[in-house]
Amino acid sequence: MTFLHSFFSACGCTILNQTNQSLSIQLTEDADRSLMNRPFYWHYKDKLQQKGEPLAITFFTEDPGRPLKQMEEYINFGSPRFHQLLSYAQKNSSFVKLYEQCETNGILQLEPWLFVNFHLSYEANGKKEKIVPFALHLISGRITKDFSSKLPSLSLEQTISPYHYVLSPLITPVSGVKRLLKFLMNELEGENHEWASIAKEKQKNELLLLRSFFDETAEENEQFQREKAAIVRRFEPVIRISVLNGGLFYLSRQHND
Amino acid sequence: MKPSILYDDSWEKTLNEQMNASLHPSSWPLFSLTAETKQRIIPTEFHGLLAPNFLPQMQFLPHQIETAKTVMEEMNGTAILADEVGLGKTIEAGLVLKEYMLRGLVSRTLILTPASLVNQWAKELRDKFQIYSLVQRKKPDWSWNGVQIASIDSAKQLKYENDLLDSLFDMIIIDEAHRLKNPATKNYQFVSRLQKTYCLLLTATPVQNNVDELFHLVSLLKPGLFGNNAFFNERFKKGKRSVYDQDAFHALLKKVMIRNLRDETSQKTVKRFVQTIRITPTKEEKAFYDSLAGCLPNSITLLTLQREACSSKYAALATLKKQEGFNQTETALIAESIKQNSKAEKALEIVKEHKEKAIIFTQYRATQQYLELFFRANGIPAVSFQGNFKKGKKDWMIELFKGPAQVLIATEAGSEGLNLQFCRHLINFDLPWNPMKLEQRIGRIHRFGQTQDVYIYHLAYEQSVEDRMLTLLQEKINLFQSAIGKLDDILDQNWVEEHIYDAFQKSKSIGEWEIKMQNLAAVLE
Repeated sequence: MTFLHSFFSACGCTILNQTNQSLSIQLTEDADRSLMNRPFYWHYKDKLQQKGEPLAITFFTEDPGRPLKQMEEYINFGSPRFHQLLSYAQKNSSFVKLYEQCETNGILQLEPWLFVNFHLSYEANGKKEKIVPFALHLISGRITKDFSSKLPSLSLEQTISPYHYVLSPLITPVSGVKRLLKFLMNELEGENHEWASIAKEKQKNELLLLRSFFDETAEENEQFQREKAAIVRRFEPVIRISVLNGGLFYLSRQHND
Repeated sequence: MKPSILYDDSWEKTLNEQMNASLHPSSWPLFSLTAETKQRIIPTEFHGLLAPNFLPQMQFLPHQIETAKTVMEEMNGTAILADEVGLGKTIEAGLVLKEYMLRGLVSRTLILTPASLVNQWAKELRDKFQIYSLVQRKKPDWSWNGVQIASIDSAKQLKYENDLLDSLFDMIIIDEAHRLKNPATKNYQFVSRLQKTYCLLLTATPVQNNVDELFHLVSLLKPGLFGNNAFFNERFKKGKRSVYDQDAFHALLKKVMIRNLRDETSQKTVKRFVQTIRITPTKEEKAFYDSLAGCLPNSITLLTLQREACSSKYAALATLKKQEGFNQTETALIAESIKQNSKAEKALEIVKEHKEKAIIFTQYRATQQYLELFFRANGIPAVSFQGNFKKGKKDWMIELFKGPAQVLIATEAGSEGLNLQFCRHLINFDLPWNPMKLEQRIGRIHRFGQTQDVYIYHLAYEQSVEDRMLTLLQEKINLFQSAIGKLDDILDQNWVEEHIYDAFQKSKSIGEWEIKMQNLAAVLE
């Protein structure tokens, strides 16, 4: 419910009605186009150069105990709708550029930070993931891990206040990403990768077992190759790194410690 | 050992472009919401299940959760799910599938089922797991990158070969997998050539006939577990139906197979009441039954014919009429004189008494047709169900039974996989040859999801072959069932089954059958 509320407010949609188990929303045009899956309607309106009417929808987080009407939906963490909303949020927040707004009498300088949420996925015969937030000061080159903890208390806007100005970075954001990545790699180096060794060991045993099924000409056998590839896929340990989202943050001096 | 690290640089690549763009729609709330929500739903551990938290509306049973965990953690997504009928194999498979999907390890999935179960699978995945699947019908599109369901017979066609064999499936699920036991069949070869990462085979009766079949089934999933063919023959195989070194064999088997039994799971709240009703035949029926010996066709044993007659005169007549000149015999005249079927009357009485839905099993088509007409004539809406119905017709019959019809009359074939939990009365109009089949019939209603006690009625004519069979089976049924159901005896069960089959099909008289069954019982004891 909190997710729904924050999501739709963040997307600029109007909350029409809210109870403990339900939330009614008037969608914006952009949200309607992206979420409601009615391309023909929008195509038609675009062709006629008319303004379309975005839909309103009601979500229930608990079974309302009656059949749902049109434009009513039951939603929980397993729903495809939930994942659709999340991926919409992810797509639209992959990059941000935000400025701190301070109450000040004089002119205030803001310093540039690069902030990245790395998404790490450890895969072998199972999978675990984590989100690792790193921030880099684009002048001093200092890297911090708890950058995100102080952000919620700040007032962050998409435009810079007229009394603020920004220092230009010494490190370009692109090379900044490279620095953070190197830092992350170093961290990974120091981690315990027992899970990978175990998976490798299992993989070896499975391959031995498989070989015992075929005779010496195994390598030529089509089925052997197929099964071998499957075993490799099932157990091969790998860490995938991608960026969930990130961006440039301009903050005043006092937060730089 | 250090795993390889792959870095996806797509964000980095667009960075310059993003920075210079004048418009940045993204605000801080959306940015932090994404990160926080993602943090909440990602799997933070290799172990454990995410799926139950994502499906708050589902109440999973402990053995189902346990099974899904074992499949994930110990079997690495390749397993034979061999629960007894009615314990929710489909649910376990769905749970495993959902879990892999949530962890992002599986998207492209192929589910192969008998044609009659395709729609049911789609419905269960949708309703229970919120997995929306594509049902492949006449013009399949195999390029679909999500979950697709097809009947094995349509998928194995030659024209789809290239499409299917060239592509990689993240997961393959095969329902009623005991049909894949013979490597010479097209089905087996087709399945073994599919490229897959994870694979689940579902079957309630993992082995029906011999050791080799189990070997082939396992080899489909995990070649080499039992060594190669030669090694297996030498190390384990002892004759056709049993193995050397049971312990080692079962230890290996347990690495790929999970079999939950009804006794072991806590599903004891639903009770089963079995009642045998002995019926006095009318004078004409008795005469008909007694006259059978006089007009026995060559190819058929008297026992077979008598069993048919115990079901209904029509079942017996279907066989007898094939003889030339039968219409002139005395038996034909007696058959004419039979005006009512005492068993059908009794069945009607039961149905009327309870005013609830009831399912009736018979082995014979002729009886089935007769019963349908009989019930309708008595004002009770009845529908038939047969294995050779087309898929749509089967679904429709079940819908009718759920809705207006009060009675469903089914033949053995096609009863696999039916979920009829909404019905709790089952009438066995005649007896199947194998106690195991009896259990399968009962499994249609006494299964996961049944909330009320179930009632089973066996109908048998007094002093007929059926009566005697039932008496003997009742005495020994525990013995046979314990031999048939347990994992530990999974191979021994086969010669038991073969003996039962032999006794049934080849015995010339009821006496011979009894002796054979007694012998079998003695051996088992």
